[in-house]
Amino acid sequence: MQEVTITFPKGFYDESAVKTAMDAYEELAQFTYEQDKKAFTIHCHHIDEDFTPSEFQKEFSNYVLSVTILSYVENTL
Amino acid sequence: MSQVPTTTTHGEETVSQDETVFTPSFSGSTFILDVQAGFYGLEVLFAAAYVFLDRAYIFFDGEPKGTVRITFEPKAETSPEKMQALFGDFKNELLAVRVRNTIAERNKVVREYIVSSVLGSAVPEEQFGFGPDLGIPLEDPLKNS
Repeated sequence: MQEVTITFPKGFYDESAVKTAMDAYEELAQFTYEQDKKAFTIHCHHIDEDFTPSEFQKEFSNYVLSVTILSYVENTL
Repeated sequence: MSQVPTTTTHGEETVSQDETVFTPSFSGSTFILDVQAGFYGLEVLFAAAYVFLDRAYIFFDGEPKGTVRITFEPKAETSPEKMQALFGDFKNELLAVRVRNTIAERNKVVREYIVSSVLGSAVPEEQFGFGPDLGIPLEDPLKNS
């Protein structure tokens, strides 16, 4: 079973962006989500065989960043 | 390693001549950039990063109001020369976004004035009760439908 854990530091990454990304990738992996004062931590398991865990981590992180930036721009308009 | 040529004030923070704005390091196919957020602001860093999302995997870490660590990994296999070029492009994009933001901030009042003038002039004067009376009764165009 392929799995990877990704940590998104608060202050840069948006919680709603992380959740949006989990929704978008729900067919490619299963997620466990938790957060503390400093970060959102996503445990990704049962990752689709078309991805290596490293590839999945990078694609997922980029997606979260793009949604975070779009929501940041929207909120500062 | 880039250095700020002169003392520059951005917001409430000042970056002096001997402080480093960029601290890049290259590791394999990745380069890591430590940037002083006080100089550019998170908004500028985000806007510049967004332009590169199709070419690189980008990750933000560090302190949002201190030293921001940006990790860049090109999506395609890249030579060291192209990595340097990509890094240069990113620095240029940071500068371009910051200049655009500065100009936008300076012109903000004028832009708001122009937009409000245009919107104000688009409202029919009859709605204010002091426009010319053309003798045409105002009817609900949908009442017969």
